[in-house]
Amino acid sequence: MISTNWFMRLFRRRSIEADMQEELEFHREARIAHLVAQGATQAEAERRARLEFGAAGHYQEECRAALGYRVLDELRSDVRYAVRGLRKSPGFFAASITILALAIGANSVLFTLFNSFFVKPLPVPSAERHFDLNARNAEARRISSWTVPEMRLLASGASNQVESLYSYSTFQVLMLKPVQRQVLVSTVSADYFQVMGGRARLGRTFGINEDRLPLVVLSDSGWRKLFAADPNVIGQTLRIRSTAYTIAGVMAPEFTGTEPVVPEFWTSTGNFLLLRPREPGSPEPRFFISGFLRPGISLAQAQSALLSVASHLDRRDEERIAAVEIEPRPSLFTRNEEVSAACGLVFAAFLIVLLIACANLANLHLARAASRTQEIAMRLSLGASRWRIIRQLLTESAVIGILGALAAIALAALGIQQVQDYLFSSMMGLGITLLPVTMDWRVFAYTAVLGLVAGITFGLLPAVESTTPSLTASTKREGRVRPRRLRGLLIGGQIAASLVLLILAGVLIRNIRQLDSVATGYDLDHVLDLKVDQLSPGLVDRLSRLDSVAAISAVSRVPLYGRLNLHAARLDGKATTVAFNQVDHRYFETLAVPLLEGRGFTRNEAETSARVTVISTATARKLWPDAPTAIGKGLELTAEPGEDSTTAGHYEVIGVVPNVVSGWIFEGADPTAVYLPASAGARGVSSVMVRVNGNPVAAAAALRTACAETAQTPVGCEPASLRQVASLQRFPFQAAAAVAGVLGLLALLLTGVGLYGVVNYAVMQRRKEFGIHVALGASPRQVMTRTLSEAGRFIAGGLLVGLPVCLALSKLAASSVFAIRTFDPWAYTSVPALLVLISLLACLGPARRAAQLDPMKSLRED
Amino acid sequence: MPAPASILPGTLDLLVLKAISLGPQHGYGILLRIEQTSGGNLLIEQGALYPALYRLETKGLIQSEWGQSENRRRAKFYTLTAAGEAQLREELTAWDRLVEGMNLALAAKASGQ
Repeated sequence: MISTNWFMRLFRRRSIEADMQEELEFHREARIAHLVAQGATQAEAERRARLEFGAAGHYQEECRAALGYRVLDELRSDVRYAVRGLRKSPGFFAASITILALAIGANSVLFTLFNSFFVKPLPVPSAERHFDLNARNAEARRISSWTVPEMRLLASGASNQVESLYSYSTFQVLMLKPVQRQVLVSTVSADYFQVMGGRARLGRTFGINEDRLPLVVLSDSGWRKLFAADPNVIGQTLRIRSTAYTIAGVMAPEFTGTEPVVPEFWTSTGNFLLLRPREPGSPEPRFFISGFLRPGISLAQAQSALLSVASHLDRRDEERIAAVEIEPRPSLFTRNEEVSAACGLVFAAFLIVLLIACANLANLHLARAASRTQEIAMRLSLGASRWRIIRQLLTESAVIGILGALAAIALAALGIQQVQDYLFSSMMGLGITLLPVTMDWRVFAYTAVLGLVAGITFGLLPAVESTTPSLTASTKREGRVRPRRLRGLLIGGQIAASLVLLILAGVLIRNIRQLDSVATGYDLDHVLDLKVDQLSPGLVDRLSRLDSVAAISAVSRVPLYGRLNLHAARLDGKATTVAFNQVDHRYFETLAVPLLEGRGFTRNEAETSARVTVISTATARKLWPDAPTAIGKGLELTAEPGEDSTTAGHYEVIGVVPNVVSGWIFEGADPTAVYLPASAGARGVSSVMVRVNGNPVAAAAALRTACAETAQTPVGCEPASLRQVASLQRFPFQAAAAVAGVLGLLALLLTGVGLYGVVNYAVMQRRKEFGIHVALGASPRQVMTRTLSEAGRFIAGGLLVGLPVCLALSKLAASSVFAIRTFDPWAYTSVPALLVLISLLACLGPARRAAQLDPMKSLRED
Repeated sequence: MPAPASILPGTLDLLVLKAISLGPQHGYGILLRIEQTSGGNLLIEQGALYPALYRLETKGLIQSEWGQSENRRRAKFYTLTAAGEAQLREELTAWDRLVEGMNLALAAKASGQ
């Protein structure tokens, strides 16, 4: 029962304490007077009074407990005790805190990222009701884009369940004025800002009736980047293609939209076709749709309401909607099962490092507690309860945990900056600005909880162990057998855990090496993907006249952007599929891929999309395994039912080229590749790539200028070398390897330090034993061997446990995205060797110290 | 005189309440009063009294005030509050029932069954 009374008394604490003293003193005096009156001598009376009263300290404690102070009191004195201990051995505690801070800091960085992407609510009101709208067709294929009229039908048909729907599409365009540069723009429903409750810091946002007006609203970051935060920006115009857009407003910095990238500005969906013109006759543009549920409406209710509208939408057969899927997205990314599983693995890896740190600290503190056995035994025999002492020791480790968490937050802030710079520089190549990742109260809370839990976890073992009542051990200074074995177990566990992390890192690094060694079959450095926003035959002609351009080619699919599309085919009456790409007559010249047999396309064949084809050697072998040559063979490409294909038809093979990697580098050369002739302007052929002479960077600049200087409508282009494209493919592997590497090194460092500490401590504890050995004639070498072999047992044990765990985990990881090859003999041999080496190095110093002990000195101690 | 018996666990509070109900008294006085009224049959470890007093006071059953002892020393005197009186009555009834029940049970003789 905590009443105001209790708090009142808290403040009157000092006087109550004095009262208690006085009351007990009165009792003693009254008793003595009473006994003297009965005839006892003064001394005898005092003695009896003391005896009769019992353990005064104990009863005082109970009195305080009755008043409800005790818990608070003890906590305070425990903290004071801990802080005093901290001051007494600052080195020991600094080491403890550093170890903990490193391990917790790594976890905080991870959580900060996770928090920003998956936990932190979107910066909009009622983010918890925000969702993405997806659907499935009858074959369960995912459909995630919708036209604007469809969205209107859905919104009005399900208006009782869905509060609002909005469409969005984010892409890069070339802005021409006031400065010429690539910008990221997001087209959104005209009522986007009303739906989001977004507030403009300058000017205004656009509204529901302004869908067709050329208005833009700048994001805070766009305002700073493009207009240097000019306060008079409202009413100014910016030009994209032939349209001038008026700046209506600048959003407040808190409003960053609902996507992980922040656009430079938003404009209404009505302007989409002005920004991204389509060929005449193209289908109506489609957009992603998100929205908000009405309060209290379940997903199922909304889904069924939306389905009743969606199933009647006028769509082609294979696009017809059979099911509506609402994915709640209260944060930047949806947290579905796949994400959870992947995140779980990553979190597990990070927590292993923390576990290693805890094992490490448990060991250090076990050693320290062992050196305090005398003190603890004394206090136990004086009547302190065991639980009381355990609590005191736990307070000490919890204080270390909290201090470690504080230091971890500082470290994490630095770490986040590093990670962010790394991510930003990697994404910059794509021209994407990521939302800055920030720490918030959730990160602080997570870190604090980790610190506290870690503190108590590592403190528990030493606390329990050192207070185990043992009368014989308390008076001797020798370490007992049990803690020694416990320390061995802890060290073995650390070695096992570091082994797992290091092997993981090793495998990932080897995978990258392997990735880098894959020959794509063409020159990555001198071939650039131009990334034009509009391709025309005229542009290709003009660019091909530039000095820096050695060759230029229009294609439907530039290599290294994922697997080639598959085309249905028929061969000798049997249905099959082949991967295909539409390329013009200079494709092989641009990539510098030689023709092995036959010839390439002529310009005329490309422009007329003639029914001739060049295939890769793998394709030739697959389709005609027995024929000496594929040249002159016929290949029937068929259209999917209901699809109007411009590429279907009977093709004659005219040339054979070597196998190259067009898709994912880690998947290697294309299993099949059928090249069909086409030219710029043909349907689907919208990319262009060039091979440049000389320095690719200078050439890229020249190309960018040339694109922008096109007579009537400048074309935006952002040349990127295929090397850059390849590095994007490499990025996830590289990031994973970097993370695993950092974790592995951290684990190695912790284990090395821990091992050193424990072996060193063991040697100091057993000085006497070693002294006797030496006195009895053991050579320094023998003493050293003995120490090392004991440490070797932990190490060997750790390796024996760790290796099977690794193998089991690698089976599990084989199913995850990152791993290509999970077993790597190099990693599995060199990592254990490295661990053994580091461990032996860590043990060497203490072992030498043991060997050099002066038996006379060590035996004389105590 | 037989050796004084230790008090039954849980009965200290009742004894203290009863002793205080006889008139305001300080800790040592309460102890003596219990010893006298029990005819010297009950022995309380002296220190144990004070946690009980603090407990009862926290529960609001007794209250304390500093005053003068018989030999003119400052001492803390305890008195029963209204809640304490009610509690005492309740506990006394419960005690009577317990004693009665115990007596009956212990006095039972083998019956015909």
